[in-house]
Amino acid sequence: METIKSYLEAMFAGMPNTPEVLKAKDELLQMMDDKYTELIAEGVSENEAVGQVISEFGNLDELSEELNLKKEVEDLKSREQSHRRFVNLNEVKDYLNAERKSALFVAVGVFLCIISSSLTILFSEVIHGLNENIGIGLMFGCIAVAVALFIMNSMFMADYKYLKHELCQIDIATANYVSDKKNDFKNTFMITKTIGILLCAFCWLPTSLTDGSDLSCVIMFFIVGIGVLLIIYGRNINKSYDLILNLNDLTTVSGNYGKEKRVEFSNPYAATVIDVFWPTVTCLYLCTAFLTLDFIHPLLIYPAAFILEKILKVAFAKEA
Amino acid sequence: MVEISSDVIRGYNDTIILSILMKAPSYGYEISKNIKTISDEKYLIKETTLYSAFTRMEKNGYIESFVADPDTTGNGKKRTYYRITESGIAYYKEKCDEWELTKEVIEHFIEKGETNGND
Repeated sequence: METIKSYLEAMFAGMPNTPEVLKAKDELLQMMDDKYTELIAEGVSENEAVGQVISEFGNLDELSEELNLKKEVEDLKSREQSHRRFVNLNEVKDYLNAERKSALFVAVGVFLCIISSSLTILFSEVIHGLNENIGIGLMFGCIAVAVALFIMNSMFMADYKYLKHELCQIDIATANYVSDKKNDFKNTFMITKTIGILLCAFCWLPTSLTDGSDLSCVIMFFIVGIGVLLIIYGRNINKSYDLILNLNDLTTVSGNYGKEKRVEFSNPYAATVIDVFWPTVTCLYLCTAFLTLDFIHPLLIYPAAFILEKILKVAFAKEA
Repeated sequence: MVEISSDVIRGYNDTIILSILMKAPSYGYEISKNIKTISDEKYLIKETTLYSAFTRMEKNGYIESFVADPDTTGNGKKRTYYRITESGIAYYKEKCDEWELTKEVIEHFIEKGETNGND
């Protein structure tokens, strides 16, 4: 069945991205699916069934005539042939690996910049008996390393500039690979983002607990640095997946490859509940926090809500 | 073996589909399966041809579509069903008459096995 789906995707890849075309694609897939299922039930081998379904499919010229798409299809075809550079799966894999490294370089670079100034405080105010200049030296050292990381990063990424500046396209197999990767990364992304934001939001805690000692200042810089590091790292990797998934011409059906498949719910109320879930949780947190003037303990609502949301999603999700 | 040329049958795809919908509303694959059975497997309609005919006839108001579940238990996949309209029935009758005439006319020009054409 996957072969049939890819075949249909490839046939429609260059068609304009209109509701009529998408409906036609869905309907045709449904018919092919029915035929395939029946052939398999009759005991025909999988390969033969796929072959028969595809050979009896017909061609899209007839359809584009019926849907009044002749002109658009031709326009798109000429545009596709002249400009779009095809990016294959291996190139995409190389690019994603490079982006992963680059995300680390940039994140560490920014972290070093943030903590660099605190090092002077560390050596002049906290650790006594050492030459103060060590702190200043370390600060410039950090900045130098950070700059080196930024330069190395842009050198590494120079090979992939074409992805941003040229018109490119990917096929459905590559798109599926990247969306799987993106999906695998989703949890990591969410965790790094949440921890990063929490660290930045609560970086003042050590200073307020110790009445602003010098050491707590240094710790604050480190906390902010780590928070920002996590946020940048997660975001940059996630961005690289989106970049690949959005390469295709958005006016064609292939432009839909990157769209996330929405989870379908078994009843309409479930969808509404899920939609208002996080705003409600945040609202509850803010109300409790301001009413009790305790901003830390009510935070526990978030992990609890996270687990509850997962359970709700599994309970309501419709079997595909 | 003689095969149906798609040029000839094109003008009658709508008629064929409407005749099936005259009996009961139906959906894409079921219709194509019926066409295959009724024609003794001599005519296989392509999916694209079928879908093109659906959109064309829906635009002309001969058929209407609705979504339903073929499985009465309600656990199956939803499909787009088509049902014939009043004007669809009228169009079908018109096409039937047209075919009778066409058949009669063409028949005059078709050489039959038993006649040699010079009696």
